[in-house]
Amino acid sequence: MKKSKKKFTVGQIILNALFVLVCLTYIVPFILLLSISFSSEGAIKEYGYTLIPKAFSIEAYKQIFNNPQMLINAYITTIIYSIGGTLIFLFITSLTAYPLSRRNYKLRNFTTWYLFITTLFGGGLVPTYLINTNLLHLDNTIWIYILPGMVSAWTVIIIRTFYQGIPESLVDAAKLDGASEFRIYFQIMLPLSVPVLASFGFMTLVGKWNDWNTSLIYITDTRLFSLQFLLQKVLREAEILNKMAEQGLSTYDIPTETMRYAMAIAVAGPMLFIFPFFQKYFSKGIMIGSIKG
Amino acid sequence: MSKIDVQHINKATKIKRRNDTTNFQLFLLGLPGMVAVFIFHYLPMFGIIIAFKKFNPNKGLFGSQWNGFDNFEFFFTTPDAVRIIRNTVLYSIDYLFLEMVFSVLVAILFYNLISRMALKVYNTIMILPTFVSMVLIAYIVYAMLNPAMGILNRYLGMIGLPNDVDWYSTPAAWPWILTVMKIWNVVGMGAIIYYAALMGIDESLFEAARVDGANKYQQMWYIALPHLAAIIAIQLILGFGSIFNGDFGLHYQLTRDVGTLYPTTDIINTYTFRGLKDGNMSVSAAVGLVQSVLGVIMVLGVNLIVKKISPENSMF
Amino acid sequence: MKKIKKLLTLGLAWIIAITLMLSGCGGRSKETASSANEEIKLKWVMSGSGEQSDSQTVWEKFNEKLKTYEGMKNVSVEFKIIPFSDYTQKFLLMQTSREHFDIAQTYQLNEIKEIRNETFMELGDLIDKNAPEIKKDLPSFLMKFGQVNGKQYLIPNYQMLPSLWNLWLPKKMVDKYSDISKIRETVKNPKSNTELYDVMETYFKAAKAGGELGMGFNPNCAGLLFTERLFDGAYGQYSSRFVVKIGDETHKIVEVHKTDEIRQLYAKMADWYQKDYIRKDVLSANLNDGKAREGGYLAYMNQANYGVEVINENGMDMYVVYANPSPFVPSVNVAGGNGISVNCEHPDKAIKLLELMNTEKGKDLYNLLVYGIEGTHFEKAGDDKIKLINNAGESSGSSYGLAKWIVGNTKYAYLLKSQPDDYKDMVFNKLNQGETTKYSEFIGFSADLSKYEAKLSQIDAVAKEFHNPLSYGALGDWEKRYEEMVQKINACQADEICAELQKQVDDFIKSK
Repeated sequence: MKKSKKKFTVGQIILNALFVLVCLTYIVPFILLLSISFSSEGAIKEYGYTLIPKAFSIEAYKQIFNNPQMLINAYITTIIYSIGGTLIFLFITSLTAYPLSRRNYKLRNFTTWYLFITTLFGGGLVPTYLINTNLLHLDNTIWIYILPGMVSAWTVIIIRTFYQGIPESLVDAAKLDGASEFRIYFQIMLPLSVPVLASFGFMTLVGKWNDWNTSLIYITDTRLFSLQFLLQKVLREAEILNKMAEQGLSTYDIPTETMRYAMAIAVAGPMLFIFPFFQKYFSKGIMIGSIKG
Repeated sequence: MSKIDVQHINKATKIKRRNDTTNFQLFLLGLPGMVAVFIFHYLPMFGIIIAFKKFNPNKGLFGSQWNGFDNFEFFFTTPDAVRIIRNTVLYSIDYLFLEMVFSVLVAILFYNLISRMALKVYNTIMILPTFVSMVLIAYIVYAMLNPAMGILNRYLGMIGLPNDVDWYSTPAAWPWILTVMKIWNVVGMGAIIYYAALMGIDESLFEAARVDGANKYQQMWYIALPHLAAIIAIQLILGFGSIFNGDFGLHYQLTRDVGTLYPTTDIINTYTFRGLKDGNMSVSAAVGLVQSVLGVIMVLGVNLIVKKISPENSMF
Repeated sequence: MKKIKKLLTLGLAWIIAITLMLSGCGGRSKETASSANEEIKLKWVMSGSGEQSDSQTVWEKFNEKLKTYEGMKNVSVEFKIIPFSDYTQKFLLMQTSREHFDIAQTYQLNEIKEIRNETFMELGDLIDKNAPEIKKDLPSFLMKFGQVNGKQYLIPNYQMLPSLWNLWLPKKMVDKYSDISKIRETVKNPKSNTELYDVMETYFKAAKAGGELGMGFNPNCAGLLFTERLFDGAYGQYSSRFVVKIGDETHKIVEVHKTDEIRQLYAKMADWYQKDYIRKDVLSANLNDGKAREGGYLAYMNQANYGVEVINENGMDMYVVYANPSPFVPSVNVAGGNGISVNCEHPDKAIKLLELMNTEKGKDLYNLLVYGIEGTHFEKAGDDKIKLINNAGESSGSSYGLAKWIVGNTKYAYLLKSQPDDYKDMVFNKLNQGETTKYSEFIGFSADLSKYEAKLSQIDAVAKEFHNPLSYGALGDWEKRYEEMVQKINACQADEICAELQKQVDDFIKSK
C-alpha cells in the first residue's frame, strides 16, 4: 500500500522554518555581495556596504572581463581539468580504498599506515615543485592540475570506512559465484558507493574549480590559466600597483573593492547551478535493491 | 594419511590459493593509487631536510649548508610560544568538535526533510561560503562589527544594549566570533558527507523501530547516529593529526590582523607568517615539521583512546 | 618485527626512488658556450604585469635595434616578465629548479641576501672594461646602493630616492583654525618635536571647539612626520629597525622602538585619541576613506610632488607641506637594480646591455623597451614628452608597457603627458642631488646579522603586534603595553644585536 508522505506536519513546518532562518544568514551576505559587485566604487566609498546598490554600475565586471579571449580559454581549461580531474580522482581514490576495506587483505595495515603518514608530513613547496617540474615536466601542461591531486589519503580512508559498512554477505555471495576482486569492485562496490562518490566528487570539483595556486606556480602559458587564477590575477595586480603607488613607484590607483566581489560572483555562479545535478545522486534505496536482488 | 586428512589438506591449499589470488588481485587494484601517492607525496618528503639547513636556493636542497636545529630557534624561543601553541590547540579542538556536531546535526535534519525540493534549496544555499574567499567574508564581518557604521552595533542599540563596543579591541569576544564564523563557513559542505552516509541506511530499520513505538528522536539517536559512528571516529582521528595546524585564512583575514586581538586569536601560522620576512623557507619548514611531529603524537594518542572505546572504529 | 620489516622495505624503496630522482633532477639543460660569431641570447628576468598583447612585437623590434649598437651585433634578448605579485616566489622557484637567467631585476627581492647567496656576479671589472659610461652617468652615491662590502653587484635603477610624503591639510580648515605659514615654519624648522605636536594640537583643538573636527588626524604614517625623519636606518626597513639619530656623530645604534621620540609619539597619539582628535575606529577601518573630503581628515599624510604647496583634490583645496626639512636619501633604494647571474656566460654583453639601459647613448633603446614602438604605442608630444596611445600602459590588459624604474635609468625616460614639465628637474636636481639634500650615512652598508636571523624575526613579530596600535593611540593604557613591548624586544636579545651592529657600523664609518 502506498503511504502518502505528509509534508505539512507540525514537525516538518518547524524543521523548514528552522532552515529558512539559518539560510537567511547565508543569503543576506550573498545579496550584499551581489549588491556590492554591481555598485560603483564611488558609492562604496561614500555609503559603505548597502543591500541595494546606491549607484548601479557594471564597471567591476567590465574590468575583470576585459580580456574575453583569455577568459574563454580559462573557462575551457578549468572545465576540462575540473571534470576530468575529478573523475580520475574518484576512480583512483575509490580503487585504492577498496582493498583496504577487505578484512583479510594482507597488506591492509601497511597500506593504511602508508597512506596515513602522508596526511601528517609533507615536504613543502620546494621539493614538490622540483619533482613536478624537473622530474615529471608537468609544468605548463594541463596534467599539472590532474595528476598531483589524483589521490587524497584522507578521502581514501573515509571511503574505506564506507566500504567497510557494506555487509560482507554481498561480497561473499559474489565470490561464491566465482567473481574476481575486479568484478566485485566494478559491479558491486562502485554502484553502491554512488552517494559517497557524488559527495566527494562535488567537493573535489569545487576544490579544483576554485584552485588558483597551481596556475600561480606552474603555468606561464596564458591558455592554461585556471579561471580563479585569471580573476585573482587582476585583483592581485591591482593591489600591488596600489602598494607601489604608496611607495612612490607608480601612479596607478585602481579601484579594487567592487572588483573582488564581482570576481566571487563570476566564479561561484556556475558551481551553484551544478550542485543540484549532484544532489540527485543522494538518494536512498540503492542499498535495498542490491540486497533483495 | 587418511582420506579425510588429504581432503583437509587439499581444501586448505585451495583456500590458501584462493586467498593468495584474492590478495594479489586486491594488491593490483590498489597499486595505481599507491604509486601515485609515492610519487606525489613520498618523494617530496625529502624536502623536510630544509628544516635543518640554511637554505640557499642557488645551491639547491642538497648543496645548502646544514645548520642543525638553528631554524627551530625562532619557534621555540619566542616569548609568545606558549600563547600561540595554546591558541592553536584550543581553537583546533573547538573547531573539530563543533564542526562535527553541527555537520552531523544538519545532515540528520536534512535526512528528515520530506520535501526534496526544500532540501536541495537549503543545501545549495548553505554551501555558498565555499566559493567566497575568506577575504570577502572578512569584509562582510567587518561591515557588521565595524564600531562606526557596523550593523551589529546599530541593532544592539535598538534593543537597548550598549552599542559602542569596539569589537576589534575586545580580544575576549573573538573566540566566539571566530567559532561562529568557522562553523557557518563549513557546515554546509561538511553535512554532505554525513548525509551521503545516511543514504546507506536500510529504511526498514526505521519501519521496525516505529512499529516498536520509537519516536523520531529515538529513531535518529539509535539508528542514524550509530550508522555514522565509523565516519565520525575517523574524522576525529584524522582531525587530531592537524591539531597544531590552524586555519590561517580565518584567523588572519577576519581579525584584519589587528594587533590588539593577538592574545586570543594569534595562532602558530599567523605568528610565523608575520614574523618571517622574505618567507624564510628554512624556518617555515622547521615550524611545519614541528607541527607535523606534534600531530603524529596526537593521532596516536587519540587512536589509542578510540581503540579502548570501540576497537572496530580505530584506525589501526 | 613485521612492522619493522615493513618500515625497512618502505625506506629502501624510498632511497632507490630518491637516487633515481636525483639523477632526473639535473635541472634544465644549460646552454653551452658559443663561439665569437654565434648568436648570443641573454635572458632578462624582471617584474611587470606579465606578457602583454604586443610584447613579442616590441621585443622583436628591440632586438633588431639592439644589433645596431656597438658590440651588440650578435646579441638578442629574451625577456621573462613575471607579474609583480608573484615575483618573489617565482624567482625562488626559478633558482631552486636551476632555471637559467642572465640578468635579473631585484625589486621585491632581498638584494643583500641574494648577493650573499651568490646569485649575482661581481661587476667592478666588467664595468671598467666593457661599460665605462655607467660610472660616468650614474652618480657615485647611487652606485653604492648596489654594493656589498665595497664590491659592486648591482646596477641600481636611478629614480626618485627621497620620499614624497607630505602633510595634507584642507585649506578651508587651516585658514579658519590655524595658520599655514606657522605650520610650514614649524615643520621645516622645529626646535623640538614637542613644538610640532603643539602646533597640530592647537589646530585640532580649535577645530573641535568650532564643531568641525571631522575625522581628525589620520595617524597612519604619522611616524613619517614626527619620528622617521629623525632617524637613519642602519638595518631593516620598517618594523624592527636599528637606527642612528641623524646628526649623532657617535653613530650610536638603538632599536627604534626604544627611542624617546617613539615613546613620545605613542604618548601623544594616545592623548589625541582620548581627546577625539583620532577616530575611534582607527584600528580596523579603511583609513583611506577620509582623504580630501568634506568631514574627512583635518590632517593626513599622503604623497605629492616636491615643491608643490597647494593641490586641488576631489574639488577641495589642500595645503601640502613637505614632511622633511630637507630631502633625505635613505639607505635603501626601493626600486632595486639589475644584476648579472653568476651563471651568465656572456657577462660582457650583459653589462653592455645594462649600460644601454642606464646611460644616454642607449636612450632610444631604453624608451623602446619601456614604452613600446613610436607611432604604435606612443606619440611625441613635446621635447621630452610623449602621449600614450592604443591602450599602452603598464597593466596586464594594456597593449604594452614596462615600469621605467624596473628597466633602467629613469632620467632618460620620456615624460608622460600627465607629468609636469619640470618633473625631472624636481626629481634629479632638487631631490636626488639638491642643494639641501642629505644622504644617509649607511648607503652601501649591509649588516651581516645572519647569526641573529631568528631573533630579528621575533623582534619583527613583536614590533608588528604593538607598534601599529600604539602609534594609532588606540591602545588603552598605553604605558603598560609599551613596557610590555620593550620587555619582549629585550627578551629577543635586542641589546646584543645592537652591540654587534654597532661594531659593524663603526668599522664601516671608519672605512669611508
